[in-house]
Amino acid sequence: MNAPRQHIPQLVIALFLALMMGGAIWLKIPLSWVINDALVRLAMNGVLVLSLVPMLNAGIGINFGLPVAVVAGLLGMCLTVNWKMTGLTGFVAAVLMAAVIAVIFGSVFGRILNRVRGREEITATFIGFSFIPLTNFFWATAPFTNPAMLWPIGGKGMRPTIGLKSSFAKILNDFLPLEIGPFVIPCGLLLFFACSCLLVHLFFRSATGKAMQAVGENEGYARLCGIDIDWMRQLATILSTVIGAVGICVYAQSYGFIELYDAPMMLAFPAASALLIGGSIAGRTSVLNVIIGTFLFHTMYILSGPLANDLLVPEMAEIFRLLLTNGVILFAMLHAGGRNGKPCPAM
Amino acid sequence: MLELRNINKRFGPETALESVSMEIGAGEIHGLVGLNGSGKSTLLNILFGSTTIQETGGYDGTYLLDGRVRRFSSPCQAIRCGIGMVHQEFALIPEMTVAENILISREKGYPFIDALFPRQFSLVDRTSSAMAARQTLHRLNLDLDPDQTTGRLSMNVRQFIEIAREISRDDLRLLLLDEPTAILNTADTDQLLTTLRSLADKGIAILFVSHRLQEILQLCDRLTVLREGRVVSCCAARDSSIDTVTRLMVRESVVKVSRTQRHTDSPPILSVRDFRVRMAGEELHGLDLDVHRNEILGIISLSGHGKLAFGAGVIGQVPFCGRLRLAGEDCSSSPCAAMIRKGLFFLSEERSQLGLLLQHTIMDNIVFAALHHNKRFHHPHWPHWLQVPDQKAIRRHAEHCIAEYDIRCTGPLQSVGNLSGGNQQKVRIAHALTLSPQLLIVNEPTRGIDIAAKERILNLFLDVNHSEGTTIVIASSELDELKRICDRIAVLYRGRLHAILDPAADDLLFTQAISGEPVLQ
Repeated sequence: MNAPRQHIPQLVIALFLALMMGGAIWLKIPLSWVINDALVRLAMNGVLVLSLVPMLNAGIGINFGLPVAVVAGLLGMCLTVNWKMTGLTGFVAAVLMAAVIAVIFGSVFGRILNRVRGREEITATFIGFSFIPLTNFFWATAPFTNPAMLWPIGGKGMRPTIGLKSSFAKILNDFLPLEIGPFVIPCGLLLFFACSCLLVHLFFRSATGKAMQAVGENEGYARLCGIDIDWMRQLATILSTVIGAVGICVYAQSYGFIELYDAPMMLAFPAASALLIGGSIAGRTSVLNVIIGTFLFHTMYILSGPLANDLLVPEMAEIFRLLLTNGVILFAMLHAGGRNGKPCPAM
Repeated sequence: MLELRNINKRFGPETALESVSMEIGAGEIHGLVGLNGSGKSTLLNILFGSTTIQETGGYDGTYLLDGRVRRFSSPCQAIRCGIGMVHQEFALIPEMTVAENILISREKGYPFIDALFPRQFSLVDRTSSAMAARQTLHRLNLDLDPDQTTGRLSMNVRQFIEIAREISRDDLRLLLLDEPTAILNTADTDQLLTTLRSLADKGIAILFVSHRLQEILQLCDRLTVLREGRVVSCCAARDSSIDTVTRLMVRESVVKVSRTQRHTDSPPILSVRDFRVRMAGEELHGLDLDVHRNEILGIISLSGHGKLAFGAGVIGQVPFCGRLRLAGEDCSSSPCAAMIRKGLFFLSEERSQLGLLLQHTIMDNIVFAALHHNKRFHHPHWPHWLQVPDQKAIRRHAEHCIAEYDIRCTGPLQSVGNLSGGNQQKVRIAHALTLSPQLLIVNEPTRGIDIAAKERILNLFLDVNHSEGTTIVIASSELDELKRICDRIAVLYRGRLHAILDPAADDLLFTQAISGEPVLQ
């Protein structure tokens, strides 16, 4: 009934985006560059955003513990780099290993979240925050042997940034590129993202997926229908962690670097922001929300940089991005609270 | 005092009310009857200034209170004009004490501080608040400690607290009651009706909504009948009978169902011994009961005496102690899922909170448990472990259920939250029967449902019992309905089995048994 109100965030962002587009054209920033970059960033970040969906639909809330998944992905990638696997084999091995590690991390993570009913989001945030120092210790002492990954001086401990050029950088980006004039469409990358979306979409149409959604919507009902609620929540956490781990692999191959140490700490926030812009409603978040949200959010990211740099002081871009990321989360939370606070229209 | 002229209200494309006009004078008790979805709740929401009305586009027409045009945009304004409302779903704060709930926003302060500071800063005087609350409870003949927490009390006591909150107001002019007696037993209902009558004698106007026509005719001065959002009749209660009112409410006449076939000597499908369930407000303290295969067993008790705890305990919603045997197997510690796989299903009395996925479609709701527990709706071309649902089969089944159970809706894709109470209940029963359980336990299947839907639901139980041999246990406070469809009726008293009576037994015998007097059979 109040459908227009639900779409306020998307409308605002879309309007803003249109304004920035106008600015970009006025400043003669090439349109082809914007679109190429937007497509790459959509697919590159999309899988990470997608990883939030299972937990959101199971009623656990936004996975602010995304760093846990990211660390699983980083571990998988570091192992492949260490064993000097390259090319497509390297990437597939990284994804598979990341997934296996993510299953282990996810089940522990899920077990913790099952003990903190009602406070999952804040708990997940702090699990993420406290997990990072632990992994920092690991990165500094882990017995990796590939010198490309270690500090050049001393030969011990991992570098904060590991280049993937010699292993699997841009493997998806450069797979099946479609060039139309100045536009380059990264078909391989988009295909991978589309497949991930399709799998998640199909999962939520299966009986297990529906049960998971029911747990998110009404736990008491699900229990009476004989659904193991703890298991469903744990499964959702595992799924989220696995998708997140795969997501960081996609991100890293596109970016060309693995970033260790404190880098994963804040990754959850832009992802959450993107999903919320996409108009997600807890318990009923669809893949479409993910695609729309990621596209809007990251295109805005791309445009805000050059625009802010040209029009304002150079540091403006970063300030602007942080403001957007966190502002959107705040806005979406206010908005969701307002809607849930109202009684259902009774007949 | 209250006058409505040509009220129109639309929810999107649907018309909820169409040129409704009515008048209520001071000291009058006015009855409002109609089937589910006929617009009663919408009318009450308009009168009480509920925010949903504003959000869905307001209403047309004139609303006069004491000759002045009113258009409330929030319940606060309505309350300031002396309107009080008792909701169908409780509007009490479970963590607060009884006294706090009754006097909420009208707490007694210390006069000294009230003299110095504005009302917002007054210091609550707990003793005098408790005293005032006790006086109000006394008016309702309710002996209750005002210092206990509300959440732990049973449903009927909470209903009385809700009423106490409204009648404790000095400025009350018009009281709106939305099915206050739906969950009360006969004794409590009589008590309430007497109180309402004495309120009316003091000059308070009362608008009384109920599905129980008997009460309406007994209590009200005049009554208005709504059908599909229109006023079809407004007459003096003295001049009407249940028959005439029923005929006005439903266009077709309602045939009351009843059964003749009885079988009680089959072996027990479910038997419980020393069955103890600690369900707040409805405890069972050691129940011994056998449910025979293929029978319809009724369970009746006063509220708070444990009839609702039976199903909740058996399915495992609430933990129990004691022994439980289902179809000869000991199931004393089985989780819900195992019980459902063994052919048991339970429909809780909390329809909207534990009964439905309100945001999902009718189709999803009907097949939910079946999709999860058996392979009936799995796609034949995919391996079963993938649990890919066969959407076509599901849709076909949903359409079949809609036709078979007479669910009034726009189609299988309509959201369940938009249906009226009776239709929601039909969806729940369709959901349960889709699993084809051997034993179905239903709590309060007809609470808050209009007569047409009620008969339809009772008929469904008889049908499924007859054609599929499903054993059904119905825990209800409607003796009349139980007597019509059950083979045996178990009467519980203080959480124990008090008697098992034949449905043909005398009403007096039942009344005695329910109130705990010894019964000779």
